[in-house]
Amino acid sequence: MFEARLVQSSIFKKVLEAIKELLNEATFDCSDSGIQLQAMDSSHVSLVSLNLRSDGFDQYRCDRNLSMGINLASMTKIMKCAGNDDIMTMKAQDNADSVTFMFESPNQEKMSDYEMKLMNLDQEHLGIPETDYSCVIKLPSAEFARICRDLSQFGESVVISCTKEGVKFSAAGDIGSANIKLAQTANVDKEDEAVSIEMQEKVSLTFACRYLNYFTKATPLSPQVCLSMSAEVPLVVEYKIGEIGHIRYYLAPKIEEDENN
Amino acid sequence: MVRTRETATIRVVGAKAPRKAAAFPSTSQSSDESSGKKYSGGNSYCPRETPAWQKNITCFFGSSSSNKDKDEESLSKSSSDDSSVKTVSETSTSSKSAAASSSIDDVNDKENVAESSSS
Repeated sequence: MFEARLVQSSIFKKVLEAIKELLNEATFDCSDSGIQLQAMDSSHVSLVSLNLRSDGFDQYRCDRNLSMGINLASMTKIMKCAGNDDIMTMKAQDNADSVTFMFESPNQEKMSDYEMKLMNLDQEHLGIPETDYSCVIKLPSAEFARICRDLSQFGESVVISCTKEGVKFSAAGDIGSANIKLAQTANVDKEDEAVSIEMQEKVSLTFACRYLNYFTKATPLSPQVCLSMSAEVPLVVEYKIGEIGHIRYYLAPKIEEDENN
Repeated sequence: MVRTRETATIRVVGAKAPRKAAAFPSTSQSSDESSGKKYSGGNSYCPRETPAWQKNITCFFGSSSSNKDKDEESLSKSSSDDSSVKTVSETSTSSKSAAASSSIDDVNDKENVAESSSS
């Protein structure tokens, strides 16, 4: 038996919004520790990793490990049936071929339940090595989304350069070029609006603008975003999901081929 | 076509609609607005192609399908393997039936570990 109750169903709505443009379907792995999802987009360019800890739910029970293959478009339709203030409960039997979503209005006057068929998905899982990143940048998530959107006007690639002083986002294309510099915040009065950099080594890497903009769909989940970069390893874009967990996106940088090749 | 007073009214309403719609931000921007007006407005996303240089993420992270094979081998060789095997077997399950079988395997593994440690 699996049962997870979340008072703020809006969190789950936002999670779906954050992944549904990259993924058509995904497997939600439910265990005693919580709900995890790992999936590549259909082009196998980026990787999404979602972790929702069991202690972040208001009630959580998972008697046996359960993998639920879910069509995200269908799940989105069901989640749209819930009000933002509704209390959500997910339920599934151990060997069920369906999952039930129950929504309760805050005053308990409206109760609804929706059953969704599960899918048999054969998804590849990747092993993510622990990495000590050269630069870890924290900045307001809405600022990052705005930058990615603005730089998409210029070209298909975005260069992120990080030094101790700050971080620079650049793009160039047919209409010209753009440079956006963010200095590290001196006084951190409002943590959510701060720009902070932990740097071991300067890094300048190029990323696909298309995917950065996909990642920014997670902006409503968190006021801050964390970018972890090292030369020649995938960028990690992480959004914390309150006290319940996080969503991480991985994207490979441009790698200069050896001139001799 | 004869132009009546009624059709003229409809035309006026129809002509106003696009201007009215343009005055409001798109739905994708509205979610950002809730995070703070400071970052709202501006350009909407300009769709871009994936650059030709883009490498697949699988070039950087090892597929657990090969790990899975190794795990199955190691499991068959020794049932007293530790949690690293269990982690991979948990993450590599994808279908419901596979999940059920893996959880059974996990239980069996734990039992075997308990037996071997007690002996």
